[in-house]
Amino acid sequence: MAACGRSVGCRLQCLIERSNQLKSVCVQSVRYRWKPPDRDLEVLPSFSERLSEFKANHEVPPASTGINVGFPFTSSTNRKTSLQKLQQWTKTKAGKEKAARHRQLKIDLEEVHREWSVESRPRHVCKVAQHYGLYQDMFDGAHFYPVVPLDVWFDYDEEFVTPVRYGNVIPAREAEVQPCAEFEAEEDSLWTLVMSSPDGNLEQNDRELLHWMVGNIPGGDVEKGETLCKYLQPFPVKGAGFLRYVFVLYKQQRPLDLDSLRRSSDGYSLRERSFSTLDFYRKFEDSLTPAGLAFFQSQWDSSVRSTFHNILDMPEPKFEFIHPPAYVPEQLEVPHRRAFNMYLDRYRDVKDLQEEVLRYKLKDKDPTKPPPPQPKFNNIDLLPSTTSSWLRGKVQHMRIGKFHWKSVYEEPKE
Amino acid sequence: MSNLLNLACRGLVSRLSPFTTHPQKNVIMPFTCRCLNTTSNRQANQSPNNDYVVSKVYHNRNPRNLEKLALARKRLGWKLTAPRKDYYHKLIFTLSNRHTEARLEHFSGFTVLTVSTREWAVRDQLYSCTDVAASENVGRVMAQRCLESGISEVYFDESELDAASDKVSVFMQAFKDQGISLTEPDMVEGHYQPGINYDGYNRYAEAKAWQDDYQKE
Repeated sequence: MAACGRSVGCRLQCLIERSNQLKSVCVQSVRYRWKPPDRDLEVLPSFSERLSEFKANHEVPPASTGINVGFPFTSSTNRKTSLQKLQQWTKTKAGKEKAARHRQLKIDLEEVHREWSVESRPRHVCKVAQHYGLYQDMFDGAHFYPVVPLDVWFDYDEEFVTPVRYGNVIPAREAEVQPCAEFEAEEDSLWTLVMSSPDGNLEQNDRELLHWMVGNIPGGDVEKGETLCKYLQPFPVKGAGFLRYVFVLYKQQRPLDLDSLRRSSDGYSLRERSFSTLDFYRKFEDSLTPAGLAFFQSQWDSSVRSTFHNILDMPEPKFEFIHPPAYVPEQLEVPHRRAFNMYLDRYRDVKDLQEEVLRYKLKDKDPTKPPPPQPKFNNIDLLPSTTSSWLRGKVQHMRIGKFHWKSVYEEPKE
Repeated sequence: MSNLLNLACRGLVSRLSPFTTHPQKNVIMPFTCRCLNTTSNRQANQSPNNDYVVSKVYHNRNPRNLEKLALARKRLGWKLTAPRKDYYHKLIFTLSNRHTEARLEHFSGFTVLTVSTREWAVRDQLYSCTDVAASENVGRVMAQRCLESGISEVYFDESELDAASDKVSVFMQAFKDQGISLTEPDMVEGHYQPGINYDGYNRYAEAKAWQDDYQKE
């Protein structure tokens, strides 16, 4: 340090070398006339270091993160096959030149989907499922590759079907009837199909709601399997936004005795349908391997109300989003460059503020009548020139119904 | 989760009005809601869900829910930051000498979807991996995959590429044809009201714990 203490640039370089170019340095670029200060220049942690420290303290990943509980996924293309494909493509592509040059070459998306299912579907769907937090909420962070292409669709009218892909939005009314599921399987293999919603449990939010469960499916024919839980259509509650509905396909090693999971005959009791994929998987871990995945999202529509009233036979709940409250820092004795009245209002009790608003509201209005509509040019009248600036601001807020004065022109809530 | 939850609640101010009759209502987190009322058209005496209690605090665990409703907080960045940071999902289009690629990136850095002419599923039906037809078809496949994964609004920065070029314009047009918006909606922010509810319920409908100084949370 002493050797290169003469110039700031030299000192900086020395510091950077010392911190191995990983840490940010706090250098005071002031030349001291007589001698440099005694204290060592502070070396602060870099942003990425501070971020990783924060994450280590605050974002604890689930215990099983990084474990593959399903089948291993190996890409079907290797060097040899891709060389063959390249040769084949080079031969056949000449026929498409004219269409490409006239910009009329539109590839067949269904054909792409079919080939993609073989080539890279497990890897892609795994990523999207991770993005939607499915593995975190259902398998405690353990992931699996959906190596068996599971095709699920809702056949709600004669003309169209709605396929379930990997997170697409399906209106609740289109999912009223039991979906069709199809997957390729060997004759003697056995499968279990489970449809559950990680967000649908209204009583215990950390558990799931079971919508449909079929066990011991022989050779990919879902209709021949044992229905352990009848299909219940999705009912995303009003105001709660988009809920996930997940189909997981398990491959069985042997026939399973799933009677303990059988729900009662009518099966519309939501408490009985409370479900945890993790508990289910842990119980049958030795004989079940997750192999297929499809999921969709759904939002409230008018069909949900009739589901609650006619099928679940219960009142329909309705929710309202509450925004996170504004951050209020510690109150200062002498705030600098703040309007004092607004600063003090921030720390007042809401009851005081609302009392003030109510008094203003009832001063010259009849409480038995509905509140008058907000006048269009309420703030057009000039205030006397002697009005102090803080009062001017307050009166303007009152007139235009800003901040807590909003309720002056608002209908009272039920 | 509880750590995160505590973090989100720092400086927590409840806005339940003291004039409402009963402040304990149903609430969600991070999608925090409260139950307003329930509707019913029949006497549910024989119902299997007679004793089913809808929880006061409803937590929608879907991590994409708030983003779809534009209620999640966006990174704001500085005013003149380039490239901009205020997005949830960004569409990135890359034209290299040999291949055409598109990928969808979440603001956390996670790559959600990719389409490339390196994929044989796409390349098989193309004439060239770098021409205008390749750009258009990569756009079509990407738009299809976005819809299949429930993403209907993405952020696409035209200024990073030459938007007047044919390759970029047909790529963008492919998204518009599928009905995907290339701009994301503005973040919905709550209405600011001054005041602290010192002795009320918090947004999770829980009574406040006694503290000597609430401002020092």
